[in-house]
Amino acid sequence: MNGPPQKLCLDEWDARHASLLADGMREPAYGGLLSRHVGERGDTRLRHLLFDSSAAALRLWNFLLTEEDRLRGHRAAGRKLVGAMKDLGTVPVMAFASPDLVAFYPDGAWWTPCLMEHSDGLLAVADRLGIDDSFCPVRAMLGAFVTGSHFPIPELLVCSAGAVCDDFSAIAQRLEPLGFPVFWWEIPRRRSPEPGESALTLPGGLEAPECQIALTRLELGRVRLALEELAGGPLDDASLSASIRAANLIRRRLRALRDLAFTAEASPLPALELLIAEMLALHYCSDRDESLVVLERLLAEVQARVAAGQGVLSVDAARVFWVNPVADLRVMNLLEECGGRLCGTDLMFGHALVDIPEDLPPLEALARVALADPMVGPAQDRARMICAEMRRLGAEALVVSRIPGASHCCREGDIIRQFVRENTGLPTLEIEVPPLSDAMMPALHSRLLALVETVIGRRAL
Amino acid sequence: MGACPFADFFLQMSASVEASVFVTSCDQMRRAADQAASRNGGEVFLMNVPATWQVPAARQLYRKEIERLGAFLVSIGGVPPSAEALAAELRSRTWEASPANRSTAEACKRVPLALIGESLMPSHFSLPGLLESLGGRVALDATSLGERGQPVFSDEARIAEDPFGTLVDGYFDSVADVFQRPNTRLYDWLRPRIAGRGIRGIVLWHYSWCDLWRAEANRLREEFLLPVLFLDADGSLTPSMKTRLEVFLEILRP
Repeated sequence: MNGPPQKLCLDEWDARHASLLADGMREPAYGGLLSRHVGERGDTRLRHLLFDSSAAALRLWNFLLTEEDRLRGHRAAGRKLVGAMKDLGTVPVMAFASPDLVAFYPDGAWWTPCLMEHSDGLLAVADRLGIDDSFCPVRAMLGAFVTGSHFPIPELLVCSAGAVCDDFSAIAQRLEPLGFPVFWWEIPRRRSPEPGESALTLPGGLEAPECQIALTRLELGRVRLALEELAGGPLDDASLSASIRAANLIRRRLRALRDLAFTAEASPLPALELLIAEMLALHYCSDRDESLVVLERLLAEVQARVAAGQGVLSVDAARVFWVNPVADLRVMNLLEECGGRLCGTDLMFGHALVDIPEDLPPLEALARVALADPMVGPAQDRARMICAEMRRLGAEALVVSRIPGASHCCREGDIIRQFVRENTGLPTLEIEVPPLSDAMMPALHSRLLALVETVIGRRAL
Repeated sequence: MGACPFADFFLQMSASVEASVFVTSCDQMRRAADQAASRNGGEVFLMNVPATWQVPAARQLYRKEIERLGAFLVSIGGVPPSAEALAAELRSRTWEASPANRSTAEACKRVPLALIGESLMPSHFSLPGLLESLGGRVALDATSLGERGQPVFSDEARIAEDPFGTLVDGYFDSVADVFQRPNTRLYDWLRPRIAGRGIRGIVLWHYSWCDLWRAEANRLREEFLLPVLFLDADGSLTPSMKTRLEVFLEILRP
């Protein structure tokens, strides 16, 4: 516990940091003042965010914002870097099975233009390469590869193809002629089994034909060979199974954190920190053990706050289920400024939050989880899962946050909103969030406020 | 936020028929199938076309999907063809360039262009004629329904012995497209034809919000060192497009 929870701006966090140190807080090697990231890395967006006041949140932020240092450290230590792209949660589990490999998502560069408030110039580089703002902000990744000034260039790039976003696939393909070869593997578009076709239930409850699982397993077998070649040694089943168990530990902590935070009477952790915490499930911010520690600290903080009846927001806050990650982190603060709170999320990687089966051969288990990806199947499946989660978590409204230029957003938002309206009767709202939303902030504020007012008004009925 | 007009057009058309077949070759079309399935209307079949092509598993997936498509067509009243009928159908499939594009003496006076990109919609069918009227000609139709999208069934013995396998392999091996990963087959297909036909300019026909083709504009320039006119198409041929084509050809004309 660190006293009553508050939300602090960056300047206030410096004083808070000194106070925590005086009280005996011990930090990991990557710890320190949050404000240093503005000067050292140019993460100027931090000046416009509000942060949770706990030591656990400080650790989360410092962990997130020092990932590039960690990657360079791994390389200096002789480990090989794997750039996993698009699959969001599967390939890193395989890579971390080898002590000589570290995986990360270059996709994560999509937040760099936000964090650096465009001073990074990554989108301008992508523009020059013909990938303009009609594409998703993940095009910043292309700029990061070409400039080499953000993450270290991985030795191996592994990207899923098939049932993936066009914009991501096109951007990843653009890398190849620029000298960054990509290892492509197929993820089929998940479909319902035909009558009489043999099928299996996937983690999370969806069904898929066995032939699709078999294909995905074969494809992951190819990924395994590529990783073995890079590691210079075998990735045996025992190592993969151990890596699956380690991934599940993290996923369970995260699920416990989410469930408690989303269902507590008073929101015990702000939306921004909840969003960041979910990202740890994807590739552990390049340090699996530390990722677990970060999540355990957050969970302990949340448990303590809930036990003490403490929250960071009014207990009356409108309970909002949020769909898709936001390109501008500031919008998570905005939701709360408008009187809302997070009460569930689908940030496009629900399959990275469920347990990977531990009683199956590892590639079979990973194939089933990869096919459970909400983005590789029909939008109706995703909508159905969102409805079920909204009911379970007691959500009062839905926000679909469109990603500018993303090929899936122009159609799935309508399907999801319609499905939710028909099945829950709850209000829904669609917004679009660019990497820097300052110019749109008044409009976003008005729209979110109207949603919150609608929710509050419905309570009286 | 905009949607691809080609996928929209297909979605609208599908509302007026008893059954429609979508493919997964792009995200927009894949999700248009979701939209079609969510409304009350005809049957919707979504065929999973693999993006990868370099491994046997992708070919196997494609074959299974053709089989599944066949079963779907039978389920809505189709009749499975005999092996002989299928073989005859394969033998009858030949690609012929439109009269305006053939290498006649008259046509050879015009600037040879490659038309690369997505299929034309009916409202764009006048494009080759328009190019001709402006002094150009489509010497290479590399749109999806043009020469590039035509499968090759050349092995007579295989056609007779295994027509279904020939059908599968003909499409899988000879159709090169922008969605394939890697998309080297597209460039391998274009390279000899662009060089062999003396192409002097490329018209990249792409629909608004089509990321796959849009992303290739710079690559086409880098690869072929030819002028590329990037046409961002919507529902019709606009006056602005005509002007741009006119200027493009004026620049290319000797």
